[in-house]
Amino acid sequence: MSLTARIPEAVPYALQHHPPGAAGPSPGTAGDVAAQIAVVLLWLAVAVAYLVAGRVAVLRGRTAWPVRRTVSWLGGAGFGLVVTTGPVATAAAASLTVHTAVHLVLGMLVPLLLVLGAPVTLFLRAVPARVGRGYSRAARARPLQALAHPLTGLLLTSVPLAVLYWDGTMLPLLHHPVLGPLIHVHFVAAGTLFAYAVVGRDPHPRRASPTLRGAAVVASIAVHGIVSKHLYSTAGVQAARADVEQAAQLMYYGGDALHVLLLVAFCAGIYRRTGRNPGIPTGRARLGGLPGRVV
Amino acid sequence: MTQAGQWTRAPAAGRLAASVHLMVDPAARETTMTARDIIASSTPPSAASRQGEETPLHRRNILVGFLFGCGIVAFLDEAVFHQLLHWHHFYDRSTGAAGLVSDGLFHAFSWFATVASLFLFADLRRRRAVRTRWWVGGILVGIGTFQLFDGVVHHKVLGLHEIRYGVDLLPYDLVWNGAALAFLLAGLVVLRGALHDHQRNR
Repeated sequence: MSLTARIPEAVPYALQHHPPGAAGPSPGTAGDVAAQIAVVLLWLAVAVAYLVAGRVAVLRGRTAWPVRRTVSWLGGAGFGLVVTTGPVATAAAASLTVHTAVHLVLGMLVPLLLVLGAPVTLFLRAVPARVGRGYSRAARARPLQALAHPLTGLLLTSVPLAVLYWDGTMLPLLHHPVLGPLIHVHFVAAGTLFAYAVVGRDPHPRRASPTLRGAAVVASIAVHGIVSKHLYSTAGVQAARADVEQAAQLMYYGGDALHVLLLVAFCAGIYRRTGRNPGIPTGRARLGGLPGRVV
Repeated sequence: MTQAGQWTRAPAAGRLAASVHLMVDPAARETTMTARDIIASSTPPSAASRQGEETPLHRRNILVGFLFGCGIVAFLDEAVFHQLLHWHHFYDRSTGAAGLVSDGLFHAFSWFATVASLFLFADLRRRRAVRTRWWVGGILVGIGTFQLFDGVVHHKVLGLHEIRYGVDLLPYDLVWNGAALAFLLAGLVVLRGALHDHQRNR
């Protein structure tokens, strides 16, 4: 299937997967099994790397690591594993609704959980100071700063989202043997970049102002709502109309549910930071400061 | 001793000047500074600086309530009319691009406002600056404003969706927008009462 191929609208979504004669692995073949094992190993590597880094940090004498961060990271890797392998992956190939659920988890929930795991902080605790300084120098480079800006993250997540789900004509791309998995990888990566830019607990060379980060979150919610309603409105001309309608509504309400988590993380971060600021008189500040953890 | 307690100990002239300027004309930054200077001249410096912080926090109760009102009415609209009654349609396919974008932005804003206003309320509590009447007044004004906007702009001007389909819309529109106006007026009454008490107690 070529990149620009358009599946005729009469072909239901389920048949678009593994169209007859298409290249790429089909279920049950050796290639498919190998791909599944690779995906499992990838998520396991993500989890194990974090645990190893935590162990190294402990051996270096940095023992105080909040367990919620480890739980968050492992949860992110676990959700990623569940939705990209096994029965869920099979169901996602046949139903756009299930595929949408997978996309919500991969593009929003997994990135948020990974970012709340504060992997960069853990990395900096696990490596010698020399390596950490090298990382800090590298992170200050202009291109990386531009990449870590909320607007970059917003564009990298929203534009592909809008292109892919605007009116359903791009949906066959999801079944492309190479581009399909790449789109999933992109949504995890771009989602993580965006979550890091707006709610990241890790050190950021130049964190954007709360106003800008808040505006980016609002824009992200708005794009979700607009695109899902437009997809819904075009469902009348799609083959599997009920499936597309359901998928669009899941995208809308599921996106809302996950955006609340992002909003809570965003507001909680600001709430804690302003409580720590000695320049602002708070109720308890005069009684010896608010409890708050630094790093 | 809370900050409010320190407020009541300040001299009457300075308090009145500060409150009147800030309540009547929020934009009058220059006058505010003058009012603050008056207080500063007659009270110890540390207390004066705290009083300078106090008044904006005081007014913030209205804003926090307003945001919460917007959020809660949007949430109830979604839960009751879309999900439970199925009166509103998710999207009735007759909407133009402007309606879609406006709906998306307002939905995003109200969702943000719900979460942010709760954290802002927690922040007010943390600073011992909660003024319940201002906050409740803000909520009522927020509910009324948002519902009126939804009823007039979204339902009528942009034609996003109607309150209910297959019925005579007039009574529904009257109740919807009448309720919005009632909320708005109730909020203004509460705020007016709060302002009166505020000025009398100074």
